Amino acid sequence: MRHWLARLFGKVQVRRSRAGLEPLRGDGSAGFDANATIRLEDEAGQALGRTRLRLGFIGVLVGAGFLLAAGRAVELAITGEFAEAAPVRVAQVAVRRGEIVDRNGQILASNLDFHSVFADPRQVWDAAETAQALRTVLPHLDAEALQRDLSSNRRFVWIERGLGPRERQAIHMLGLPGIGFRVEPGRVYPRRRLAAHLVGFTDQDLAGLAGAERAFNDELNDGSGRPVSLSIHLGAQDALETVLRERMERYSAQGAMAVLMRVGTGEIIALASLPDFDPNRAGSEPAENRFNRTVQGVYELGSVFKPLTLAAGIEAGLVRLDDTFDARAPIAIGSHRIRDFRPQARILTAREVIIHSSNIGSARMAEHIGGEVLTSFFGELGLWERPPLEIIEGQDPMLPARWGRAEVMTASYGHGFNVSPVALAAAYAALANDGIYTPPTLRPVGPTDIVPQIPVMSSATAAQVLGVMRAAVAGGQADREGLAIAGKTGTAQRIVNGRYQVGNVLTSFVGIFPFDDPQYVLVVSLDQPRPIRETHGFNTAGWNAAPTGGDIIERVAPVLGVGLREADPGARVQTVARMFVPRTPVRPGPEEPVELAASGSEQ
Amino acid sequence: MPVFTQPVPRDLRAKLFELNWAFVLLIVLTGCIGVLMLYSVAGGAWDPWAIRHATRFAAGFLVMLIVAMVPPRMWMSLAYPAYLGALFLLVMVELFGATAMGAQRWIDIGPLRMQPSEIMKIALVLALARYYHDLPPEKVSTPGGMIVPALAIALPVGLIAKQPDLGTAVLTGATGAVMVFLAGLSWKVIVPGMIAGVVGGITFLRYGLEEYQRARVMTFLNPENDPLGAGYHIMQSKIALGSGGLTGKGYMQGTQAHLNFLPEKQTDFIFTMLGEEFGFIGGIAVLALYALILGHCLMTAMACRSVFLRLVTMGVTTTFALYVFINAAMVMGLVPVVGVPLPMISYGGSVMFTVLIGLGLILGAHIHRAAEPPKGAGIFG
Repeated sequence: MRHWLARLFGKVQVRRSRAGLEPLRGDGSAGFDANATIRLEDEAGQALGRTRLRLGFIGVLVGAGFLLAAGRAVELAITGEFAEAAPVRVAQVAVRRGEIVDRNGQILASNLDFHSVFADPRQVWDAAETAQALRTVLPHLDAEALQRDLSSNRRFVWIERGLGPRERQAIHMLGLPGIGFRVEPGRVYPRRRLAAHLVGFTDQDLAGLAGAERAFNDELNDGSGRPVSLSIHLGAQDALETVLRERMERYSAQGAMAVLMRVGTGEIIALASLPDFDPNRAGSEPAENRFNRTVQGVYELGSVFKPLTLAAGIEAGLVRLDDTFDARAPIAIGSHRIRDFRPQARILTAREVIIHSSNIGSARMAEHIGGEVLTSFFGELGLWERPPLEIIEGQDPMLPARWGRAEVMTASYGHGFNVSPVALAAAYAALANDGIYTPPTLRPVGPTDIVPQIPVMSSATAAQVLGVMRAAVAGGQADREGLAIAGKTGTAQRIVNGRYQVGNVLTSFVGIFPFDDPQYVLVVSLDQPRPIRETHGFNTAGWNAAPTGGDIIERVAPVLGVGLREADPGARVQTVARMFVPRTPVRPGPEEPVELAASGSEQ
Repeated sequence: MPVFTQPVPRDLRAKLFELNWAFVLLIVLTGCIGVLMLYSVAGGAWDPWAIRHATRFAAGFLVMLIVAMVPPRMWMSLAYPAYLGALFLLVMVELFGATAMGAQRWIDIGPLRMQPSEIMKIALVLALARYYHDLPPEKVSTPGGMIVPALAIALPVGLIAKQPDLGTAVLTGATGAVMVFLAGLSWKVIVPGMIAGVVGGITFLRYGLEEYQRARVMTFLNPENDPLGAGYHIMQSKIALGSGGLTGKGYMQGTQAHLNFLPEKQTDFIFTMLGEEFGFIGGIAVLALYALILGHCLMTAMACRSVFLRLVTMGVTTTFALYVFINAAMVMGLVPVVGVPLPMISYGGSVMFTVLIGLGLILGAHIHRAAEPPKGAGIFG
């Protein structure tokens, strides 16, 4: 065996050495083939040398790997690449929710720290004694429930949340084992009921549930702590709410709502829905109080739509102000009869149809215009869609399944479909803005901000309709000296069980002021106002919604800087003159050649 | 060429005299560091890890010395049976193995629960060394000389990978490859082989990995992608190492580990713990300790006269070096988390015994470095 191996190795050795692949050991076996045994030794040595080379190679590799690891350790330790990184599982740092402010920076919603008391029942020594001690500070707690909680098997029970620092300290001084505290940020609304529906409220974990708190929840929680400003004007809001509340009580109405919108920008300046609630304890308020009628409610708003019908006709070139419509007799359509509340029973001009609020005339006008034109015009005014206000809880309008002859006729005077008051305000803001529709918004619009502008009608159409609306108000319940209010009332009868109820009405007033340079649009509605002596037994809009609107405009106009006819020296002279002259029934004349009705009779 | 210089020690006294005591000291030192760290991991308690680690280390240390004393002839004769036995056990695991943590790795034999892949690490080294010892060097690169080792490596690696235990499979495969390289495989075979390996590896990464293994690899490439999931280990480990700084937070002061941010801190991630508490200096010191051990291993391999002992030494050395390197690189985010412990420091019985038996073989190789066992003595020769 050995001999065979030796011979084999010897031959190989010779070949390799000739090739010069390996350096030979000192005894130079290359040309030495006399003794096979020595050749074997040489061959083994040769193999060993080769292996050592490879061993060294592996050694270098291992060394390089270790150096690499060491280098990485240096990198991690010295540069501290990750030293600053926080552990992933730390408690999330509480982000301060941003405040909500009005357009002038007045705080509407802010944060306060509240102290909450909890118990770890397993560490509570004596549940009865602990419960009794706690009730010395928090007497409103139910003793039995408290004792039951404290003797339960859980590790955590809330005793009470939302305490002030004083109560916290008092409980702390009791020195009870197993009782602990947590500081929780809480949301406070320092203006209480003011703009409650707009501001909204949050849940206990400060997640927005309604209004701006919900609509801008992400922005409020973006961690920047920056306040979110709303478009509303707190002064105007206060004035609007005060008047609305007083009027709602005066007419014993079930509810009331008002939207004040700025023409041209679509900003909501004030918005109120009554009855309202205190967002500081929204959870304990009845749900119907939290209901935002201006956005969540959709109503048949009635005759306030008549000017829009007229605008549709004028814009389509189908109606001129002097065109006449036969309002002599009620129109029978199906089982339904269209009649006027206070029939003129004559042929009326288009202008008179609006001023006298003739349902018959309006229906005839709609028939003349055609359903296609009318409904698409209303659609362009955004009435067929949910108003694009940021408030999420807005409602879709309710529309008839199909627009037949009857539906078109009733739609012309605001019946047969339900829209939200905000949508109506936005539609009239378009009329007031030379026919350009701007979506309503809750965010303030700066002078350089770009707002969407959708042309709906020509400026001439808008001006004509505004003139008629001015005439409808002039001298009426809503008219206020020096403010040149244009407007229209509407009294819609409520449907209960499929029948229109005579006494159950929703009265509305749409006002635009000043009518020759429109800056603001107001929509006011009263839900089921009662006839009172002051209104001579009437419950129609002219007797309640119109004066409410007039009062609101009178109050908000100075707050918003709408001067008494600043642009009209004549009226100003008269106003100044009146201050020195005993009061006489002088009314400021109309500024434009608009025919003034002797008395606006409204419905 | 020290042909006549050293006699092979025969009796126990001579063998103990020839024992590489510096090497033994380094091993004991490493084991003590393991006990120290496990004491810290438990928050300053012997229970549950430190005491068992110490016991196991003591037992393993004895086994190591016994292994060192055994004449190489005996290991040679045991090589093939051990390999076949380990292969059989791997197949048994595949068929009947107990499943732990989603992977079939253990086999229950009565009260004993063992990991055949650990046995295979030693057995493969012995078998390959034996094979190349018997094979004439010029036949190493012939097809006939290559097919046997290739199969001998591929079979266990495939079985281990299928368990699935990718870390051990890579380790075993790499050890086998290094041994083949040291046996003198021609570069003409190595270079094309490596090219094929790279291509095959990429294909394997694409199509051959279990979903969780792929996730590990992908997460390794960007751990920040999934900080709470698969990337959690690496992120936390790196944070801990970084927070250790130069000199560390002090013994038993490591917050990352003690506050349980660090997973598997007593096993695979103990190096992180060490780095956090003793800083980069501590980490480097431990790496240096391992480097010294490996240096001794290489010296032993150089000194060995027989192919068998040299290859056994290098096989064990490779496994050992890969353990240390992969573990250190893993916790520092250089390679994916593959579940390789730090030898003699990480908690875990199976691996500790494997490593100590392997080191015993190296110590034995050092004692018997002058021995020249006969070639071609047959399977049980």
